[in-house]
Amino acid sequence: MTQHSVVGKSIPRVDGLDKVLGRTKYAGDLSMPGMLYAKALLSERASARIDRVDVSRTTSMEGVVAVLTAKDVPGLGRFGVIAQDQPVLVGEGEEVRFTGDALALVAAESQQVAERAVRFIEVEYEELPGLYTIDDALRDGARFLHSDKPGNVCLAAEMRIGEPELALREADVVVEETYNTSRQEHASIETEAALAFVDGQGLLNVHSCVQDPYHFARDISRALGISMNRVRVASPAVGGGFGAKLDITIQHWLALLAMKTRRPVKMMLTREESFRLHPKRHPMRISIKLGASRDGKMVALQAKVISDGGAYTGRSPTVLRVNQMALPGPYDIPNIHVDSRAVFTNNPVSGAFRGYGAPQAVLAREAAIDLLAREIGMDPVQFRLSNCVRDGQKVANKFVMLDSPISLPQVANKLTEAAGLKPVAAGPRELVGRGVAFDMPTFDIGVFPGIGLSGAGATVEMLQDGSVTVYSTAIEMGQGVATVLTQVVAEVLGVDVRDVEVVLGDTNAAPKAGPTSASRQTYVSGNAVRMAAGNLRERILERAGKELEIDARDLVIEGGRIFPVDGSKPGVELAQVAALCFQDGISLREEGWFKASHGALQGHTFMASLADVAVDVLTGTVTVKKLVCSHDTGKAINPLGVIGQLYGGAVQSQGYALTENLLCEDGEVRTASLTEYLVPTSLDIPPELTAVIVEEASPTGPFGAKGLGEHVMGSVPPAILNAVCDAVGARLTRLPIHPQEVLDAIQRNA
Amino acid sequence: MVTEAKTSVKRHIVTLTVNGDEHVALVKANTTLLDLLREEFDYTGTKKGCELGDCGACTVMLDGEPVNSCLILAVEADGHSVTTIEGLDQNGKLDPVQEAFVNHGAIQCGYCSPGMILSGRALLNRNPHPTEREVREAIAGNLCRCTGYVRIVEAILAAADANS
Repeated sequence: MTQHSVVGKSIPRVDGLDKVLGRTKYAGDLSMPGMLYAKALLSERASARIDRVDVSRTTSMEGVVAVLTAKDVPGLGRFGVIAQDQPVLVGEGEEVRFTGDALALVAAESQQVAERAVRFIEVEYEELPGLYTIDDALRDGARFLHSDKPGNVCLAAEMRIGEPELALREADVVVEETYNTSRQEHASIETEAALAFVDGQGLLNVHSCVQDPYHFARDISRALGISMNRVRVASPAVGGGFGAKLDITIQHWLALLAMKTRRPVKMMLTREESFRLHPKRHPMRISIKLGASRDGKMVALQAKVISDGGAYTGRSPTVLRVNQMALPGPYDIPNIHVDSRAVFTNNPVSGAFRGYGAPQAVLAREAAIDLLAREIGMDPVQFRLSNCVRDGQKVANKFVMLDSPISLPQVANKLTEAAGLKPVAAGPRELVGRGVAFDMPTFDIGVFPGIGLSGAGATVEMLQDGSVTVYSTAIEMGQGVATVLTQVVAEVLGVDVRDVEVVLGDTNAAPKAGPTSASRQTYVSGNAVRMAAGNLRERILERAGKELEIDARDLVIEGGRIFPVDGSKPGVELAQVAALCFQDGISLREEGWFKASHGALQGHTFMASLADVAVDVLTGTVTVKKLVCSHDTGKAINPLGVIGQLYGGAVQSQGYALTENLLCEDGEVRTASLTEYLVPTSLDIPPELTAVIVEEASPTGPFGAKGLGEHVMGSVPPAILNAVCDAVGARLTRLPIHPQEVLDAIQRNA
Repeated sequence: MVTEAKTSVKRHIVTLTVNGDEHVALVKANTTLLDLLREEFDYTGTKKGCELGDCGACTVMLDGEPVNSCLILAVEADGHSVTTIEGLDQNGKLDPVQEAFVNHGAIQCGYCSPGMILSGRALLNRNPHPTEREVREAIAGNLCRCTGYVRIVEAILAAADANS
């Protein structure tokens, strides 16, 4: 096996020092001389026609510099990654469709003036019947939120393999259940912030915490009618994303205000605004039916998925597709039918959130599989393993490339080893249970067309002193991509990680890397920088070979020196060769462009999770005693970072399973603070949280790495749900698991 | 000292020590310590996350005690001493808590880190050898959405060991 000097090492993150010293600048920390402060007037209604927006009392206020309404918006005036159906501002005679729609923007000399000014804008609303649930939206005679979308259907898509109806009729055992999942809020600790200005060259600069700078530049340019090369989007450090920062929330407003005022303009959302504005995880209702033979072979899966897509298209079409493809998971199921629909409502837009539709699918499947295993009388782990796809077989998700071995058995082994014994109840007031869930998470490999996922570029440059700069529009939002890219480049070029500088997130500095989502950047940008650095290495070795009078192929770079493999000559400093290249006019700047060549769109891997829970029979409260996650991550470029992703995702998953639910009543967010929307605290995490990895190399990933960031969101929630069902001996079907429902289940069982 | 400004909100002159340096500012009665630190003094290492005391990202030490600076008025800090994340290292030498955060992988996005580190430091000042439970309790008011807290707890415990 190849020995690596940097890859595979748990080096501390490259951005760690600045972060602990408080030096790292996030978007909200940026400021410029002459900067204005902006505030948006958000709609007070979720469903209404706007009769009048009167800003006359505001424009004359001292300190107010600009007040803009829909009339001031040039260009298309709408935005959206898939369909451009979301208005920049809603104007008179138009409709607001959720409480995140904005009617006016104010820019003022101070934050206080801006906040005060929006309160003096007068709006007359004409209430329209609201569609606040899936059933409201689908009711006969319901009005259409978008006139071109009859029946309020945002997406309707089917997936059919084999003869599922026949197979279910002939199956020995059939189980059926409907699962409901909540609207999960990302709750990044950093709320959305942006600073925009028009520079001396007339270029519109937007500095903001975003997960996909090129997409933002495209969406802003289209919405405001300026060419893309006049828009620069640059992302500083991002204080948590999880999908919430993949799409425009405030950046188009700041761009517009900067264009109109010709001054720098800044906005930072309050927590309440942040909760209202950015898209959420799709709440889903999944009715699933599984059939198996008496001896435990799964023969059919049938599912009906319906989701509240919220007020605009957002990412519903792709999220629902991913959900559909994720449903069969790692199992060999010959007959499948999935019928998926997303509908428009007057609720917050549903969009990307870690897992992108897959977690809901995994929940329904893995909960139903437990029912099926119990019905057949098989151990749930054995049942799953015996139905797992084998090497050489195909899975139902036709987009998966299946180019690395089926590692689920190893993953399951590690899980079982780490799990230990099932807990025993501490007393008569406690019930204990154990649950497992398996999954086959996927990640984008750089060929998904349409929404910017296709291809990823990066630039690697060696300067004349031998130091190296990497330019990429991958985003560092905590997951560690800056460190991963540093390690890959340092490994290829044989330099110290301290000699590598990574510049991320600027459309005017680096090629398109596509979104930092879909667990893709280690794979796609890792490959792109590896290619770029590889080409650079060849050129450097060639020049060094000339200098040393040795064939370049006989040279190696290590520790910043170039020398012959056989040690026949003393070699030369890398920096010296870099200087020679500089003198000779040899370019030491290389762009790597990675696009997977195969027909498949997604890479795959395997994961399994286990949860031990205790249930208080008097209160219905669930406590997670132990969580174990076992994941095939491919080659772990930085094991410290890999395990960190698993820990963090496991706790976010626990929140999804037990406490997190963004409640909306009549379209209004009722849990718009962090005291009402409950993310786990340090006191909520399980006393035992274990993450173990299997490193089955991907044949196409950089150094064998696979994607991993989102994967843990899949199997942890169903492991917890299955553990609670095991504890109380009854079915639970809803996330988050509510103590009252747990008590009801205990009662039903008694 | 009180001065009348054009708006109805009274203004006050406050004097406080931040990271050992004396600062004087004219502030409105309703200005928070958080805004004073960030907007007037440019100590942007102190983060704004909710302005309601829910998330703990704005934690600073006020006379050595951890506080949510979004819940303290600037006038309340008059005459007091504040330590922000920028003031924790000693002439470039990291505080053991900062060092442990880097080495133990306790940082991801980093947005909660300044508040977490200061809560950890304040704990170790009053209790040099806390138990794991005590660490978890000390940072219960600091939300982190990335790490799952495991390594943060480990890092603070490691810093306690480094102390001894």
